[in-house]
Amino acid sequence: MTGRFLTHWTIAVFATALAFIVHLTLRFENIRLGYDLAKARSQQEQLIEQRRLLSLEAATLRQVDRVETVARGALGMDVAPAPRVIAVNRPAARISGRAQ
Amino acid sequence: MNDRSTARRRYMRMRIAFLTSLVFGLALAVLREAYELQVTRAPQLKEKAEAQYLRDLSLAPKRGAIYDRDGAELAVSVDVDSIWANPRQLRKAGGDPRAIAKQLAALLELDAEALAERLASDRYFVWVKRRVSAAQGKAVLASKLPGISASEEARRFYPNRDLAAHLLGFANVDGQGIEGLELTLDKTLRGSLRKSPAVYDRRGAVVYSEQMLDGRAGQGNEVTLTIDKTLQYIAQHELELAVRTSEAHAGSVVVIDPVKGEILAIANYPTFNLNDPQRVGGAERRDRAITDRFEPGSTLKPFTMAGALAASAISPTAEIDCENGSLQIGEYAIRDTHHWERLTPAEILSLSSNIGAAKIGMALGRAGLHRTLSRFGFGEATGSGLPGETAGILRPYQRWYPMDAATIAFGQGMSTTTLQLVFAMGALANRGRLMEPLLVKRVVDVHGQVVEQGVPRIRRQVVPEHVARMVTDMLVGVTGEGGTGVEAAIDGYLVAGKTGTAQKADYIHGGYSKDKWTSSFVGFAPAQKPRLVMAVVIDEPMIAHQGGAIAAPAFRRIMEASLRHLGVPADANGTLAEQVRARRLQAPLEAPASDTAEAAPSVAVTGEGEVRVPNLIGRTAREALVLARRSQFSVTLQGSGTVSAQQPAALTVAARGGKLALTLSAQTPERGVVVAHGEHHEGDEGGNATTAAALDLLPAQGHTPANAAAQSLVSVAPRGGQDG
Repeated sequence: MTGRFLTHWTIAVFATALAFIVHLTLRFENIRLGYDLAKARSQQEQLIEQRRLLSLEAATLRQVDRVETVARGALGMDVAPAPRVIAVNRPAARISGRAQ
Repeated sequence: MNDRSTARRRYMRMRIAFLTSLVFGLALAVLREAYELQVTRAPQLKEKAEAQYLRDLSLAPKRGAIYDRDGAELAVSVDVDSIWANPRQLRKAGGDPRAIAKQLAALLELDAEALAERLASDRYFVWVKRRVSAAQGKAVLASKLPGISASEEARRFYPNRDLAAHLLGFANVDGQGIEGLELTLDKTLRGSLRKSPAVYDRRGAVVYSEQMLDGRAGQGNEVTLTIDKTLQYIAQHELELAVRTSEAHAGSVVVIDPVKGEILAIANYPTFNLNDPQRVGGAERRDRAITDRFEPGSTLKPFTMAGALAASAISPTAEIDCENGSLQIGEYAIRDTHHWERLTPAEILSLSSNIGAAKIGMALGRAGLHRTLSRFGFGEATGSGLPGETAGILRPYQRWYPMDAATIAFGQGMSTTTLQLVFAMGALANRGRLMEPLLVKRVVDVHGQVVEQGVPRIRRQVVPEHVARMVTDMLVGVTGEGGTGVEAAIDGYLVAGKTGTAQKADYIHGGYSKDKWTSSFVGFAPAQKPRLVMAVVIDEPMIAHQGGAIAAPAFRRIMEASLRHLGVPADANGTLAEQVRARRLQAPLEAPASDTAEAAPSVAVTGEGEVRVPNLIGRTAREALVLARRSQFSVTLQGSGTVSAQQPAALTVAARGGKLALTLSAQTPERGVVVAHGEHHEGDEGGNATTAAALDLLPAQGHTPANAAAQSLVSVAPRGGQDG
């Protein structure tokens, strides 16, 4: 009788301890993932910001007057006469620098 | 022995019972306390706990970007460092405000004295410099000065500097729109400050929780405009050249798509760098295309003409007596630059006769002219939504002076803006439909969802389609040989347009200034299927002042480059320009015939020396002559009115160069509808009575069969639409 009682008691204590450990483990894991997520989010925001900066830099490089200066000056290009311009389908509008 | 063992067992039982009771008692106490904590006092304790580890995380709004129609960045906000100081902490750490101010001033290009004064204050927070460059921010943080910190703030950048500067406007240091679209769309772009509860650990680091909002939650929406960056550049560049070479005071250009009403470019000169707007004054920052009124001069004539044709106040084939260059009305005289005797409506436009336009204006009547111009959008804001847009001035006709119907008809005595003018011309290019200006193509939220989509809207049908086509046909003559706008002609494209040269009002001495002019050109191309409508206005040019010499070349250069950019095919050998010239030379015969070009039956050659006879029944004499001549017939006419019979019969085969006998009768084809909403408007004071007297329209004189026939079309077309 006493032996069975002690067995049950021991099992109950171990189960409680185990449950507590599992609970703590999950809680710590949750907190660790929370840190990781917060870090990932911050990194994501930094990357979006970085992308925005790069797109700004690209937009500066794509200034029409700069392109014209480079084309005419450095590459020796000139405007084609109207009859030599052949219209082809325009490419789809690009989405540049837009943080999605 | 037994007694002792029995007593021992009883003692043991009692001990067990006591301990069991104790354990259960303690367990019950724990359970009770647990119940108390978890259930009874749970809300208060939760609140207390959250106050310890939860804090509001502020999500600063970032202003949405502005893109051109192809997604090229026009305005972008990026995070940059702002340097701030805690003067108390600085002193506590043993820092010398003067020495630190000197060091910071060198790094950030500041006044050391003023900064030292701020650092010596007794405050916890002072800005040192906001929105510094990346290199400056890095240098300040690397120097590890006591009490000096940096935080991130969004800064607005305009990568194209002065491109569309007046249209875009700019935002101030706090991210609030100050001018232009930045002001108009401030609510859309600015976003809102959001606060999100976030879990902080004891070191102050944020731990993710489900309650946290997306970091971009408060970010402003992104706006895509209808502006084309390349067209905008072309317009700005050429406008600057035109203003500088003519030593003008200022200038503006507006380019639109006539079918959708999309504004593709708004350029003004002088202009300014959007990244440094404080360097210039208000005059440079003014969006002249929408805020500056000017008297349009001759560029108004096409609208007077369209109104008169729509109201049947004149016939397209009329010959109007232009008084040999001078028309006296009361004590005032209207003069033309050349001494024209009689001109057709097409010639009145191509040669820009003020007297001809004045007579057409008087034929239309004061109310009719006012109604026409109002329906073209003069005297009311276009509805672009841009800040500071003016409506121009078009006084109610009841307050017009007797002379006004004549002078307003050629653009004096009223005023307009470049934007109004281009949209009015857009109505002629768009089959008589006046469009609402469209500037915002799309608004997208931070998650890429479209929250607003710009849709083309028709404001009203101003004149019937055939009248718009007829006036377009006449306007092609303006850029043809002998026309005032020949400088606007582009090889390979048909260009329709009108020059304008207007004296500026002299507000000091009254009347008109003798040496200050506004030169303008408004037109569209290709005339047969318009893709672009453009107005060029040059304010106070010094070198010359004629619209044809100053504004027309700028129009040509911008239009040519823009059509090339849009891939609008030119006629392969540039023969269109030749056709324009040929057409111009034949203008007295061909130009005004309504719908002739569109409706002309093709001349089917059936065999060598043979041709199919065109169907001319119901056509006016002039139209019939044009078509018969194309088929190389020699025509004889009998009677007046429209063709009621023809010999040989229509669609039969006849010898090329043979004779074609036409019988005309008094039946008149239906004329165009009067302007307003397609309704006939009565009560046009002075209307019909003034028409005949004021116009003094004469039958064409001459000896050719064509001119003899034209006599039947005599020109005074009363409102009911009667020819002859």
